[in-house]
Amino acid sequence: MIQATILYHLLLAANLFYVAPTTELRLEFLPSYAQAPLNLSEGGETETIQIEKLKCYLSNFELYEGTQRVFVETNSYHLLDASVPNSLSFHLEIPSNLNFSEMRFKIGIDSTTHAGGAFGGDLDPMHGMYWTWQSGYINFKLEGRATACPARKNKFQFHLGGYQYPFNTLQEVRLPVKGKKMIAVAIELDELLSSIDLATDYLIMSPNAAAVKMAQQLPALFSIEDEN
Amino acid sequence: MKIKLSLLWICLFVIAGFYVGDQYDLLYPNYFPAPAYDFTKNSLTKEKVALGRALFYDPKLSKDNTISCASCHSPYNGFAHTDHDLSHGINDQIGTRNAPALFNLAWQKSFMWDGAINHLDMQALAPISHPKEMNESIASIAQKLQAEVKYPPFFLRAFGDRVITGERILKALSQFQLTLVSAGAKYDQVKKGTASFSSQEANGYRLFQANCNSCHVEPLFSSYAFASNGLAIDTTLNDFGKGAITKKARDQLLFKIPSLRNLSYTYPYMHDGRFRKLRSVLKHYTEGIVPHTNLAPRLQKGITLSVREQTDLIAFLLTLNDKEFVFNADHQFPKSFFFPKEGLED
Ligand code: HEC
Ligand code: HEC
Repeated sequence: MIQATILYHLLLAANLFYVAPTTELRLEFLPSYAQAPLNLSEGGETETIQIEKLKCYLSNFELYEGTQRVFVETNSYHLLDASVPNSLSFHLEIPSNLNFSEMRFKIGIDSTTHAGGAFGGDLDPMHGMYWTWQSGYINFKLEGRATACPARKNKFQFHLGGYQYPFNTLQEVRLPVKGKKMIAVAIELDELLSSIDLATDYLIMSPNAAAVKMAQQLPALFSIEDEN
Repeated sequence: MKIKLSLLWICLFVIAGFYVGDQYDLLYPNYFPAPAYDFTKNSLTKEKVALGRALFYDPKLSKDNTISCASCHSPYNGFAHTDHDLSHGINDQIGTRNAPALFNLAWQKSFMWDGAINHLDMQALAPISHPKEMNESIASIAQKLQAEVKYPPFFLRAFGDRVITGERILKALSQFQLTLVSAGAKYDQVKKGTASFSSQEANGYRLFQANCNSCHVEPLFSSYAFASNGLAIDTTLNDFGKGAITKKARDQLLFKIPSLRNLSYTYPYMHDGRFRKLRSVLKHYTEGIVPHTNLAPRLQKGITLSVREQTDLIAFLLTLNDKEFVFNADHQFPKSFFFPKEGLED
């Protein structure tokens, strides 16, 4: 009798370790500027606009089949850093044979996590994507130099963040997808940079209306590159 | 029998896997409300509290290794910067606000005089990164500590491996600060029935409840909400408090209501340390309130207290001094960590 209950509990425990078969859906992000893959400036170049830093949080990855949500990544926080090639690709662990036609994700960090204290991994404030004087993640960071820019050393710095009304900068991206194993997503910075007059707007360093306005332009930078 | 034994092993393995140290029980009186801090995400252990204590006293957390948290938050002053109206940081630079006392932080929902910080874990980033305070970065601190002989084994004991991350430094600092509970004042003994107020203190208590308790709510002596108590703007600082953070008109000139525990140790008072004496504070509330749109409604008619009543009120405020807390050796500089060879007890 005792042995039977022990066996029963062991089986129950074994159940806990059962995992449905999964497969890897590989995601690759390809930042580009001026019709070419983004090359971060090391200084000294002569182009009118040089990009020195591009970092951004992507979070809350979901897959949809039609209007039906079929997959949610748990603990879904990814820091993309153009200077760290490894950070530009990762995979979602999805059930095998899953049908889906759309991928959704957020640019930035949700408000619950924003107010949830210290986290590790990509959310660790060591990565320089957390404001220190006022709580909050920097959702998107773009820095560089432009000849048009009147600031010291011609620098422009856009640190977009803010998680509280009316300066909430979190944005959603929805992309139609066909690929089952790999999805390549282009991040084209041209449109964003050409829409800004760097002679007057070159600094955003706190949650404000300008940050919200620029954040709203971000989803349009993302598009599907190619698939297989 | 065999099955039972192997089950025992499995259990032991599981427990060992989850072992992250000796649980630390946070003690506080039953008349305190439930803490606001979510301990499920950072449960207290003796090892992490000890690590946080070492970090709190370690000047390695500043750029030139000269300033520790305790430089501005001294244990003997209820962890305030007594005798400094505005705090001093690296290279003797002067900040713009008075360093607040640190206790009962587990009951606070937002931090700093203006509420700029939304979680205790993230607070330390502010002084660490501030150019006039410690002028460091959390990433560089993690590197510095990783290269030390003392710290990696300490992180191993606290977190299960030697890796030093921003998250771990911040959580350990929170743990130590969460243990700073002040609940041993005469007021608390009266609450527990082990002491009683003198008639002067009892009268002061009555006056306190009638005039101050709406903001400085018992038993923590603050609601930790934001309010304006009618201080005139110091035009050399032009500090608009919460309004500068939220950019909302209705938040202009609001500051966090501070606790009134341990006042004898934490002078000078207010966000800019403008008053050195409790007498001056009461003079402000009775004669000095400057009206403006965001002045708390409670104070719009001012507070009337005779000189005699003010004396009684101060007598009551002094019963909120918690010697037990201020002189608690468990919160002080951990000598045995910094100077192990001296063989001193900490
Ligand atoms: C240069 C002096 C200085 C140093 C060093 C310093 N602090 Fe502070 N601390 C302050 C001041 C000033 C404030 C209030 C700031 C404000 O309101 O803007 C403060 C506020 C705080 C608060 C918020 C308290 C409350 O009630 O809202 C906490 C917690 C705190 N400090 C912890 C720390 C820790 C931990 C460290 C070390 C990592 C540290 N401090 C280092 C001066 C300092
Ligand atoms: C409407 C809310 C309100 C009421 C009522 C009120 N206070 Fe305050 N008190 C505050 C606020 C807000 C501050 C911080 C103001 C600042 O620094 O700008 C404060 C600060 C203080 C301080 C300074 C504490 C420190 O650590 O710096 C003392 C002491 C104090 N009050 C005592 C009293 C007494 C005594 C009464 C009753 C006679 C009283 N208060 C009534 C809101 C209130």
